[in-house]
Amino acid sequence: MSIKYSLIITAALGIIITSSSCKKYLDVNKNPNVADTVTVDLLLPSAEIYIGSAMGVDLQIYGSIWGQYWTQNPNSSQYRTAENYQPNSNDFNYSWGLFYNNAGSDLEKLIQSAAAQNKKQYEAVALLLKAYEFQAITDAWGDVPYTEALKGLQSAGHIVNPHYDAQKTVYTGILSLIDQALGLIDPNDAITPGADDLIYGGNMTMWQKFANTLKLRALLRLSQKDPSTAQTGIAAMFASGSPIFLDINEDAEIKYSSTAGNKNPLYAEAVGLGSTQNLVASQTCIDSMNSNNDYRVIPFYSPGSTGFVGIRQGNYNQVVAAGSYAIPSSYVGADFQNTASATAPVKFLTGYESKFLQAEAVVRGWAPGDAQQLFLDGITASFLDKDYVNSYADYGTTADYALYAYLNGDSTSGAPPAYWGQYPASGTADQKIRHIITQKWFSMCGNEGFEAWTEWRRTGYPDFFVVSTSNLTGGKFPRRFLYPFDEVTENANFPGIVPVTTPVWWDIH
Amino acid sequence: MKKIYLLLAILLATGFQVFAQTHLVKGRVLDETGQGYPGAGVSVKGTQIGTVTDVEGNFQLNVPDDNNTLVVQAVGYNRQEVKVTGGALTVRITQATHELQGAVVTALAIKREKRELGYSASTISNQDLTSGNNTSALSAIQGKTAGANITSSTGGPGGSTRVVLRGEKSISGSNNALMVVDGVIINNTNRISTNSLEQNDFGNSGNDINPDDIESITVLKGPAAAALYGSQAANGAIMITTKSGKNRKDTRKTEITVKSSYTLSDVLKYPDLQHTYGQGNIYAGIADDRRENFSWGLPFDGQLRPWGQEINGTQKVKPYSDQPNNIKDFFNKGKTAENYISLAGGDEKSTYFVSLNALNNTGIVPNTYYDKYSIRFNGSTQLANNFYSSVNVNYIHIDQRIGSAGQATGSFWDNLLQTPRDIPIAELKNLNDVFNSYGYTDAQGVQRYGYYGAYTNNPYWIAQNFVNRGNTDRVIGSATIGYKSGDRFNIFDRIGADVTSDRFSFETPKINLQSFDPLYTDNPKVIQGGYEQSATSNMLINNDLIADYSKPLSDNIGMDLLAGNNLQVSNYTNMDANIDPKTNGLVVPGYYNLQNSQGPVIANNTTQQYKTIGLYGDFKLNYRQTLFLELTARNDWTSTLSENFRSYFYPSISTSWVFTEGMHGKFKDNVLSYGKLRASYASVGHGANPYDNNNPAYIATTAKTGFGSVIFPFNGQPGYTFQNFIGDPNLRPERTNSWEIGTDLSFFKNRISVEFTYYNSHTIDQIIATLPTAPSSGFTSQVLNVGDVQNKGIELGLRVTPISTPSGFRWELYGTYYQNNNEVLSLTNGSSQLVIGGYNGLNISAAVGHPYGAFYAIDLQRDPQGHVIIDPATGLPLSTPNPVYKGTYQPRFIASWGTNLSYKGFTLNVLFTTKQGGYFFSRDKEITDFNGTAAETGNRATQYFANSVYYDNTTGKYVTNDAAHNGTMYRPYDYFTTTTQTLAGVHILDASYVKLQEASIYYTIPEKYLHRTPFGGLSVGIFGNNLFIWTAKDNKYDDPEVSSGGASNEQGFNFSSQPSLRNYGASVKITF
Repeated sequence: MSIKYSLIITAALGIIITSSSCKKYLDVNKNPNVADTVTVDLLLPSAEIYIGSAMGVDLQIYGSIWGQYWTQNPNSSQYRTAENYQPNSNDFNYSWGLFYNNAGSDLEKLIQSAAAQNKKQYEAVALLLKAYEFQAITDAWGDVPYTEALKGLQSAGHIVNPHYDAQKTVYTGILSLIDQALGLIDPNDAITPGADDLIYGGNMTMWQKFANTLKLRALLRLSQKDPSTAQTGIAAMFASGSPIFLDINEDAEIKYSSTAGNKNPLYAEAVGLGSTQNLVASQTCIDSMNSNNDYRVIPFYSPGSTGFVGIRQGNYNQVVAAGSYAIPSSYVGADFQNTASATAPVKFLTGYESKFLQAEAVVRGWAPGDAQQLFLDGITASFLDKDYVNSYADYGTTADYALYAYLNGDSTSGAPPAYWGQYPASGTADQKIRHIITQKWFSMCGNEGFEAWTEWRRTGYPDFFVVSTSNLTGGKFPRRFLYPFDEVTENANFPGIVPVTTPVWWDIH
Repeated sequence: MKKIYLLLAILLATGFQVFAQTHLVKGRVLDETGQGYPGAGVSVKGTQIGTVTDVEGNFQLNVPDDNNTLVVQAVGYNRQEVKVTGGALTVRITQATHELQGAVVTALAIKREKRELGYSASTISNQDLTSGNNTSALSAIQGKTAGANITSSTGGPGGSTRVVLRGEKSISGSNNALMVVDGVIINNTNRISTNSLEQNDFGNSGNDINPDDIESITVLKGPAAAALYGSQAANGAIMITTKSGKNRKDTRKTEITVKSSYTLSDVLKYPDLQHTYGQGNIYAGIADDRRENFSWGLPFDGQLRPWGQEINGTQKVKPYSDQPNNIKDFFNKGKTAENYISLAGGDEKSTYFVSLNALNNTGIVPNTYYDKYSIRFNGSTQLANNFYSSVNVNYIHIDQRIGSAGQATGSFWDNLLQTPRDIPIAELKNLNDVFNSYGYTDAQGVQRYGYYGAYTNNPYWIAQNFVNRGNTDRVIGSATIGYKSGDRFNIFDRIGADVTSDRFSFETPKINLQSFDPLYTDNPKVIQGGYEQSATSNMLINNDLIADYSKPLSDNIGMDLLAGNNLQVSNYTNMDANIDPKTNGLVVPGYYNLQNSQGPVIANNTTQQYKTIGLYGDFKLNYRQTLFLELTARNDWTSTLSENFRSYFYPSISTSWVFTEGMHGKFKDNVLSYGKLRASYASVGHGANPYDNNNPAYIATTAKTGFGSVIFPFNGQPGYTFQNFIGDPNLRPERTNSWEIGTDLSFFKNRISVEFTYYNSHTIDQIIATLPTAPSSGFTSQVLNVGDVQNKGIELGLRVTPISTPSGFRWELYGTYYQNNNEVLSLTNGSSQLVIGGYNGLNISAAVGHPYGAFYAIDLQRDPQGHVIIDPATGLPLSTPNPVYKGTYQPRFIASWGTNLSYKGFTLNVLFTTKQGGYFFSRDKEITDFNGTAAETGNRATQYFANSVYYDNTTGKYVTNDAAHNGTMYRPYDYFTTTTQTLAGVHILDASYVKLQEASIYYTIPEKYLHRTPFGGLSVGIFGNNLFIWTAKDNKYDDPEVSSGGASNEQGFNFSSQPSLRNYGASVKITF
């Protein structure tokens, strides 16, 4: 073989390989480990679960500690910074991420696909979930990215440093999302979600009630800062007929199960922390329940060796005998040694909340109706909520009796009717609202902790909150979440850290 | 291109042909044992005239009458010059150990004279590699070449070793040197869990090659040296040449080598502990809390006291006194037996080499072991018609069981470190003792535990019940078929494959235990139990077709032209199935099978594939074997970039000038024996990792919160989520541009030799696949071409032979010095920091303006003079509001100093290495501070914080915090149990150290005593590696080399990683 010949062969081989078959040989860079497209029924449950994990873990924990249902167990340490009112910005990475890059980006895809495929009911549910989560986001953090948010993809504008919008703008957006959804909802549409909708199983009438209730909640949130918008908005809702709202046992909630990986996220979080009972009953709530002969301590708490006894907010340095105080119950998913906690639901919006919202709107004169009846309906919905109604049997009583005793006095213990159960029919509007919001606070104990704390920020009710004894803020209450560290470090348009004690825009109480 | 033509023209013009008279010279080349040496190059000095010895070492050569000097050279041997005398020549060549001359293995396994090279390349012989009997060939390089930063994590068999040549260049990609065995690229992957906080270090696959099989290792430090390897060459290359058979026609004897060694191992460095206070927490009001992991109790008084749980009315009693060795006593002596046998032989046409190796180790942690078996066959044959062929096959089997470290539930080390100072660890060993028990069933059928610790677990129980197994089967092989016509033309095809199958399994026991003692009621021990199996198969195939043509253009000018084509295919698959004890659990305790799961098993599989095509050429010219020029060019096409960007070209140029060649006279004879100048430039492109440029798509949803997750399918309903990164189909190749200059000098008849190199490299357009983005964008990361990292540094190697007598007494000293200055010049607009490791509160980053591997941590707040600022209300130091820069893991310099002494069969080797500057994070410090066991927690009096000031609000000035200035005292308890737990900055320590890296004495029995025995040679010796360490003053905790990140970029991060080992033993080697 001559040299020349060989060289030619070598060169020729190279050329052949790199020209004709080259493209085919090298086109192997499509990731086989992911799915290119998925149907909308796969995205919907994903977004719902993400929101459930945010609401059920970080928002529930901070809401319930700052909302004074729970406090840090002196025999452990996980949430001491919450009692110090000095959380770390890293503590909020998970909830922010669940809302934005998890649920948010899934909802964005879901809205686009559903619109493109004319699946209007999917689009409506996705818009409502987006409105719901943005209300939680802005209520927690104040000014947040909204108009430029979730547009990171190259095809969506490649906005990797979204600007922060004023809370007012976000609220305008939320109301508009709800209206868009209401315009799309049609229970007779042939294409509706089914079991893939983990909240209402595709029942669009329920979503319509959800939309109205959420809208009422969003408008009432503006009652102090921007009452005219609130009033106009609510009036408009009633102007076009009677809007339907969530009723008793029509809670928007995700039901978890005891199947591994499908457990209540707060319980799963605690199991990941070694099942340590970090959270115990706060005196603020359990004492006021006890003094009101409120049997709802049964669904909401598990007694310790000394009964339904709480620990004062912030007293985690106190030496107490292990197991002597009450802890949150398995019905709210926070009795961490009790595997029944796995099946506790995460509640997004409830029947009793709906009643109390309507009651308030009536008291304010922005909506027609019987405020006292709505107040009583709210209490009834709380006592008879299907997630708690069976718990009273554990203590040999029933929910019906508990409700009766609360409203009319307890023949067993001789306790009089509960003060907070008596609607001050002849009182001022403010006294009525004080009762409505405080009663709402009792009903949300351990199940809508974040909303209860948020309503306290708006209205100042209950008015018997105590400052944590271990606060490091000079006695100032926390009034917002800290921006997460991920956003502080990665967003070039991050507007700056805001202390936890600074109120959000609508909070002027 | 024009310039190159011009250069060529000049070279051609100077080298016109001269026809001289010649005469035939015959001779034979013999090696040190007096046997004919085949394949040695014999050439007429300063010309292109040359030949190669035959199988018996004979040669014939036509030598010009006017030139009577021949040069003989062979790989691993000193270059020898001989004068033609008239009769048949006999040339004895001697093994080169560390000379500046001699042949080395360069890229593509091409053997070349070192004098030709325009870049730095150092070769380490088998003898140097194995004298310390390190079981890792990579770790054994440490201290033996400048320019390499070698980090050996555990220091024992199976541990990880990271080799970075001339600094970290890639921000997010691998910085490990390319590994090449006999010309074939092999995988060097980390067999380590991705979570460095819960370390499971099964080592890296680069350490699988048995050091005894290695003939030599050449370290190609710069991209210029390795440019022909294409994309992967930017990080330099470790070229391993394995042993081959020798033609032994004269004896027709097969050489058999048997080697056995036995090594003992123990922990190199333990944290310093206090010896004054025992179990309890007097500050929380319970002085002698027997549940505690705290040693914040009362001072020792030696009185007898009960300890642990009260079980059925009885309790153990011990004196309340210090247990000085209660950490040490837990560990076993590590024992490693190595047995090796090799056969080497051949005839005129063929050679073969076969070796068998068994390494059997039991580790320092109870129940751990590492067993490795390897078989190697290397054969070559010369066929008729100028064809030749060779085959190398290496099969490796590894079985290992390791202990978890870090903060994992199953971390023996985390639990051991939390043992109070008065607890006698050895008494915890018997797990059948009810006081140590886990799972004692009482009369009521309740499962109970008797262990004293409410918050920690018995490390012996952990070591027995948390089972982490690794199992590897690997074949590395290559086959070459070639055609060689005379000395001029050679074409061959070499196909190499590295096929690895790794299987791992992890058992977590299921327990649900109540205490015996009512005091412990709130502390049941509950673990759901779990089992994980992971199987990885990794295949890397390379095919090179190479043609080489060399021809003297004249008597003075030699030319060599090489062209080649490379095809590379990599396939990776992983299958992982996990019953996660955190979200799932076992049904039946003790039954480790995936069907024994409470809920759905999380199963995942991943496939990755990439392919590259490379075309390359190498053009070499030399003038009178004195001046050398080499140009290389390569074009790659990679599958990992889109069609428009997948092709990239890169060149290198290097030149070398042996300036002493033309010199004569006394200066050369007596002073400067050899001198060379070299310079090179190279630019190397690099593609992306597979799928980096893909747009995001959908995967099954897992909603993670801080410690738990919700997983789909959710109650039977599937759910998919959009991925969290932003893809970029327009990703371009990244590029490393580098140049180096250097010189090799030797003085006083080679008694002193010096190698010096300065280099400078820029890696630009870096592909960062995980550049973090604000989550509000809907995504958490994006892939971008950004980033510029610069490395510049010097390498110095020095070797002195003060004594070398004809009687055989030889004393040699050598040292290396290596200093690399690394700086991250840019990342991207907006981002100044990219996190590569650490945890919340401690980032190890690439940060603009700092060296790669920058620590950022919350630290003590200081005034402008550096005093610690305290809070006047508490006396405790204030912390910085944001993480601050706390130095880098990069050492300021790395140096080594070694000596060899040999006399009459005795050889003594000692090697010290050092790294100075650089920092590391020690969680061992954090946890022993917290527990009150660290030596620094021994001073417990309420006091003023050392060197502290406080801020006076009224004057706006800092005031010294002491009694004279109305200061405030603090309790060390508060500082160590609270403040230091949020201040990662105080746990970042000076990583400087000096190590006695290796020491050995061998005795080779002189042949005269052996000729009546069947042995051809016999040597015995004792050796040690990683023997002693001297650390910086503030580092009273760890060997700073230990890293939880294994061989990854996450270095300087000791998150309670398993401590490193000291190894020492004896060996015997017999040849037949």
